[in-house]
Amino acid sequence: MQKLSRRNFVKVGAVGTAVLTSGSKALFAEEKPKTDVWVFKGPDNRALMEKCMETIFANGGFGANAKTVALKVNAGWERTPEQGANTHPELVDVFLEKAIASGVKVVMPELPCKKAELAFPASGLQQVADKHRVKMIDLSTAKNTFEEVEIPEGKTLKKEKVARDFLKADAIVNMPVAKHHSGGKLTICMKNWMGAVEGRKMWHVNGLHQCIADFSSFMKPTWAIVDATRCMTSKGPQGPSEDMIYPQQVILSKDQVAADTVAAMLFHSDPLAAVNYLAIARDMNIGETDIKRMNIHRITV
Amino acid sequence: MSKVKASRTAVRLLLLAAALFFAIGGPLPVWLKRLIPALSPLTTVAESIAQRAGYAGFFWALPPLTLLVLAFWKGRFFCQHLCPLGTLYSLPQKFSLKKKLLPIRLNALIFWLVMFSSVFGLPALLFLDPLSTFNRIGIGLTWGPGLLVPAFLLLSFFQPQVWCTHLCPLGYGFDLVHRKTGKQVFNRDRRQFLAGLGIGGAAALILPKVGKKSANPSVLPPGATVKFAKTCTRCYACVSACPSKIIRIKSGGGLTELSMPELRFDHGICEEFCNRCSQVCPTGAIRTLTQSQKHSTQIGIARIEKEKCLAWADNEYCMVCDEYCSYGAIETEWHGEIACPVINQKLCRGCGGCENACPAVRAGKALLIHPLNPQTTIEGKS
Repeated sequence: MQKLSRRNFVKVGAVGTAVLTSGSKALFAEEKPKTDVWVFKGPDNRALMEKCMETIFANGGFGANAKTVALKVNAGWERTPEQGANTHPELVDVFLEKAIASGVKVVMPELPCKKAELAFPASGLQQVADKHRVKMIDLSTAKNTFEEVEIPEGKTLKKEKVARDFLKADAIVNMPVAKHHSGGKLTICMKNWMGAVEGRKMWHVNGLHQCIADFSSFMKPTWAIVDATRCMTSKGPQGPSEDMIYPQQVILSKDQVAADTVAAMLFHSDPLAAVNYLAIARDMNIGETDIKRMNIHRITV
Repeated sequence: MSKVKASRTAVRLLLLAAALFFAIGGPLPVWLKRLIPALSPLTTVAESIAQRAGYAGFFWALPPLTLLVLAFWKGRFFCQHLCPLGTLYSLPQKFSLKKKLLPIRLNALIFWLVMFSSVFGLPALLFLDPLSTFNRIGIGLTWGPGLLVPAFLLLSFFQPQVWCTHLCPLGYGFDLVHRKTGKQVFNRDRRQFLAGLGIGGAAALILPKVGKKSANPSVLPPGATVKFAKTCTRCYACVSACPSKIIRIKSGGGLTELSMPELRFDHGICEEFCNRCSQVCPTGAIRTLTQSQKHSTQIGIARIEKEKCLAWADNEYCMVCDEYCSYGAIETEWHGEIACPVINQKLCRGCGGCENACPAVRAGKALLIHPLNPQTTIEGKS
């Protein structure tokens, strides 16, 4: 038997190590860390949101050197907070309070569906923004406010004009209300971005669900926070709806697709079958849509 | 004496400024837009006759009645001291060339024409009422009736206040009720009285038949009566009161519809919680509606042209019309996977939300509002 020389030993060892290390990547691919999703449930909206903010700051906050945060709420409709067409002002109130206290500057840009002077005050969000001296920006009248971006992963939507306030912010937070939607089936985080772009009308012409997924491959928030305290299950997105449900939940994740999937389960037992853009998001690998690969922390407040 | 004269001039100018302020409006309470045109006894009396109704109610009838009582004692006191249009036309007086462009007075003819045509249900020429004329300034210059003010302002440079002295039917009305001169004035202008009777009666019968009816009938402001086109004096208070700026001035149409206000939805919609236009009409062409009455008023009904619709024709997930419908009037008909819109005629208010939002571009908008005349009310559900 030939004696293993020192040189050969090193050679074999090096190759072996290389094979093992590279092999481990392939072997243990299934073991990548699960996506964290937090579901806070409880009767008091403010308490829910306080717990949610606590969790955000315990998990990196808005990033190490974040100075500005752009918050995308729903404030598109002339509807009261109880009607569930806009993000609940109590949740936004707590968000602004805690975020500002942490030292960041927050702006709230929104492209409303109704006129801003009707929708913003009716939603209660204008008052909350004023209270914290946060600028609520009406993107329908603000000038030179959109900037064209490329969407590299987009299949249908390859370019879109996006509100500059989101592009230049250090961190983005997507904070919609979950509700029924006639064209999009549901509108939660991913579809909420239609309120941040100039060309949303053309999304309907060119294939709504593909455009929603395409844009979400580009626009990824630091945090996605879903208001599921009260939800319309019909007549969305404007309402008023006779079919309200009251899950009293706030859903939090860094992955807006995961947040959408978990929130969608309040409406449908099989969200991917019901909501086309979620299935497209799975196929395009934009975010997590598999509940089994999520780490869902259910926290009662 | 000159002190008195100066203070009088100051008061007139102040009233003119106030009237301009009311007409233009801005942040003031919306009913102030009604104040100037509603002040005219001519409008109030002629419209009440034409509509066979005391549409103004006690509150809004009181100011014009007060002016009539004032005229009984003081004649043209209103013209000389209060009328904002009179003050405006008197501004060029000092520079006037003092030529006689119009040698005869026609104010009696116009006055009686308005009165007698009103008896037959169509207050013809009532758009000449000076206070309705003045109120038009509130929306800036427009063709047709909007050019009256600059035209007569220019004419005043040649013949001082030619409008006030020779043409104004309201001024003639004040002469007529003046206890000292009334009888004399009436006797002097008997011929114009008879001419007014003849022409006015004929006008009321013939005018509605003149001109082509427009292919697209107009959607009218909420609260508009069936006699809207005939009884509107084109004061445009509603146009200037509309926060959505969707009340526009019609071009084309029959003679009675000339330059009347109509709704267009290309840049806005009739907002769900707004009843401003119905608060300002001085003529009863638009009846006053409460917030909840307005909310249940159908001014038109949307119709879908399926061959233009993204869902019906192109199999797209759209339903933008449903999204933007504030009344839940769009129902879904499923064609396989695709939701297609259907209008629930019982719930549609004709607000234009769907027409305004429809994103279809291939063949134009797939939804159009068709007017309801008379307008109807939705009972119960809202």
